[in-house]
Amino acid sequence: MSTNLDNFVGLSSALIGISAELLAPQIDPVGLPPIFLDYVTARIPPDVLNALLTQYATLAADHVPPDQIAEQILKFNMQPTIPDTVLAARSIMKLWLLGVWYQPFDRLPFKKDDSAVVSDQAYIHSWAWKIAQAHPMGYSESFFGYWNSTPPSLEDLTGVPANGQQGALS
Amino acid sequence: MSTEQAEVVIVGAGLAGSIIAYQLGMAGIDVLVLESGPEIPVNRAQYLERFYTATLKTPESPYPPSTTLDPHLTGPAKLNAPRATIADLLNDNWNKPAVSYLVQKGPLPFTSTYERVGGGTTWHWVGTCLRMVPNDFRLRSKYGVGVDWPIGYDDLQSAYCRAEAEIGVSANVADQAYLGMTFPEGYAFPMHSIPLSLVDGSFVAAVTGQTFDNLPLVVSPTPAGRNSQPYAGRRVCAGNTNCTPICPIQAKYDATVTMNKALATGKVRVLYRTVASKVTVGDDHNVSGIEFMQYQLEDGPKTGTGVAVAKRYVIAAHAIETPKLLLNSKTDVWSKGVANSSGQVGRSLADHPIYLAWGLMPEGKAIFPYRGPLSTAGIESLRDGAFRSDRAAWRIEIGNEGWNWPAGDPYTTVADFIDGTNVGKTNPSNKLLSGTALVRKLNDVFTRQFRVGFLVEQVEKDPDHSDSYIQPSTDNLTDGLGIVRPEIHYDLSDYTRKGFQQAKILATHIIEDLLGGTELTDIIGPGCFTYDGVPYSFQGAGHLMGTYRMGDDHTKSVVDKDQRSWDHKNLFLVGDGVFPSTGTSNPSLTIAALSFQAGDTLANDLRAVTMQVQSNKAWQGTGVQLNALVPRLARYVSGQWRASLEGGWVDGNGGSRHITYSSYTLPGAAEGALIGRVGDSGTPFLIGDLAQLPVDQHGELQLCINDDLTGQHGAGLTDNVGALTIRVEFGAL
Repeated sequence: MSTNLDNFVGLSSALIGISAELLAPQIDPVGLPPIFLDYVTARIPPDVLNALLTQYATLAADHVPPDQIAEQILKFNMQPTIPDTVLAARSIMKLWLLGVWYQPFDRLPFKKDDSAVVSDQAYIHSWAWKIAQAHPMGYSESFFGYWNSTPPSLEDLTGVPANGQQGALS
Repeated sequence: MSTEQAEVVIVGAGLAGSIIAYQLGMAGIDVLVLESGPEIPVNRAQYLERFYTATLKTPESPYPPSTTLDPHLTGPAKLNAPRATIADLLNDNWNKPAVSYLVQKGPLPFTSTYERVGGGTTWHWVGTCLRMVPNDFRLRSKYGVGVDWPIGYDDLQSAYCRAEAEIGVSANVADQAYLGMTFPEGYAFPMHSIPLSLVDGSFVAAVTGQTFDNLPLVVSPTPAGRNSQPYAGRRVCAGNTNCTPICPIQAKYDATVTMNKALATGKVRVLYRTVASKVTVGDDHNVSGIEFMQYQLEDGPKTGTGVAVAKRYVIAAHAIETPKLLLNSKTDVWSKGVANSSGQVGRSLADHPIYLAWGLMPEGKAIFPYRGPLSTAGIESLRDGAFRSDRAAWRIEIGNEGWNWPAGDPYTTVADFIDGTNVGKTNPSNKLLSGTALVRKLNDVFTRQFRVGFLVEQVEKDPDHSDSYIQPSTDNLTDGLGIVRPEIHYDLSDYTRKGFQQAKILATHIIEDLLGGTELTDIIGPGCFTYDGVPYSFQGAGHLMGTYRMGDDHTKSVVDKDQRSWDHKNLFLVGDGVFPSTGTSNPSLTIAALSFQAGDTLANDLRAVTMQVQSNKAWQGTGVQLNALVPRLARYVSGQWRASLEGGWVDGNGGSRHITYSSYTLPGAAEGALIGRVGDSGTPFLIGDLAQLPVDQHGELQLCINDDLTGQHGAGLTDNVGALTIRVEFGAL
């Protein structure tokens, strides 16, 4: 039976298109998933988080492809008020992509639009940079002159092939 | 009140202060540095952590003190050493002194910032080390605008070389010899050039062979104060794309490098969290002391007061804090403030206001930004030309950081495609994306982003009656120590604005016509103006200049060409506040070069050795120890001597007879010339009336007349008469 953490990683993976194996590798010295789950749990109501995780688990059990899971979770049929589950899901996406938590709605003591970098590791391992085929500003693991050469491909860095793949082959 | 004594007191532990402290320390002079901010940290881990966890990664984000973004801070009035920050400019707060440290009166906002910590603003400079071009020094005489400098490019040549060595500049001479810039024969920069980025490469391909204003568009590698090879014990650049706000590995030079060397001389000490509050002047018109206040916590109580007393004083506190201190020091006798008989202290506040333009490369043409140093190349070929009689010049910096500056990316674009917004203007149909489609779209946008910044020369309409200036707050607004804060008045002349107009035209031409891209340049405040009916916005470059300019005329300038106050002979004002005009080069290299010259002048004031060299004695010791780190000169001052009746009375250059006897001091040199050697067994060399002394030999400088030392061919030294007065100075030719 899947744990909340498994479902949180699976949900995150579907939402941002990066595989669960990359978000939560088997050997993971950084260990962001439990940190993120704890962080999110403290900031959105249990019913909202449970609804998201349950919805994900149900769709995954039905073998719905991840991209479609994401679309269903984020769907709100242009209602005038975006459901809290969708707002929370969007914040979870930004959390993984940017390392920043944007409070989606008021939940005291947290106010809507409050933002914070969860930790230095959350910034360093945020995915927007890899999607840019780059590195976090202020954290390069490359060597002098690398900027004069084509980077590894998007697929190498994220597992997702680009439109018209560009970048060095691995 | 405590009293601190030294031979030289320096206010400010930034680039200028550190270089001068180091030079003086090496000359054996006791130096005390007063630094308003906290000490240089043992390592940069704490600053890095502040940066990583800052939501808004502004240039000041790694550094203390807190900014208005910190919820606990109630405003600059509570801080003991506040500074101008980007945070102060957000949300239209630039002219709200409850938020902004600078008390801004407009009409335009002044949008450049600086740091008040040990090491100064070099903590967050990009590292650009361009020299000024020769015509930058003669703007008035060449183009009829602005102000000439009292010195020219050639006067700075050797100081530029010393600055490049101290900073550790990576560049190739062949790339930098443009618009009249020359280099000493055989000169090589300390390190080879930094490789161009893929972004740069796209510009090279697009603009090569093209012209603007009948001048060629040429992309040049930017000389950079970052290591392309291991240098001075520091690492090679790893392309962290983070020179501003902070280089994580110190591959980029900052002034802590030089300050740590200064401290290692054992002659320099620094008092941190020590804010200079008043310069006092004695009856003899010399500065008699600098009063200071001390604190421990950024918004805590004052913990001490004192006065620093010395023979010489140097204020190296940048173009805002230096005039603030001088003007806050006014008395009944010095009613306009210290060093201000010209009335020019605080006037002519300048920056390189930046015209920022950005766009996307064509579909499918990725150029992979967010990689490498923040900038590795620029278009420098338009920094000078006949157009300068009509409008401001600029240089074009090519950025490697995508839209991080203009749009706050990657944050903005990520949010746009998740929230269905179009803040960054790449999501006009307000798409909501997720999953792999989101990844692909973000990749497509991020890898095609670029930006260029035009650093525009700022020239006043009437340089003697500037529209841009700093003065003590007329509302008597103070900081946490009760020191009156700087009030800023800022405007851009039509000459400068016309530079923006031309920048905009060229930016659009490059982006749309030459690169084939899509321009997305927009107005981003708070710096906005209209010229000829067209709105423009400008960004601060962090290049604070003017406010205590150098000149030949004491009625129109604050310091002379040696950066010595016209009014107080023991006071020096250094840093880019002395720039009479801004040119278009990022100012740090010129600050460093001028600081070396000021350091020489100070060291010569206090430690130059003047002595008589007798004609009838062989080698005579000077007591001056030469080494590779302190460049020295020997200069003929006065007197004549005679080595032979035939040769007659001569000065240090000697006479017309050139004798090759081996018993002569320096066979083949002019008889009667002044000759030197290093140590008892050193190889003699010609000094004449002026010479740079060897830097590759260690030992005491000895001097002697060029004559038959042992009397093998006549009377030798016994018939010699006269003596020369010689000065052994600090400096480089």
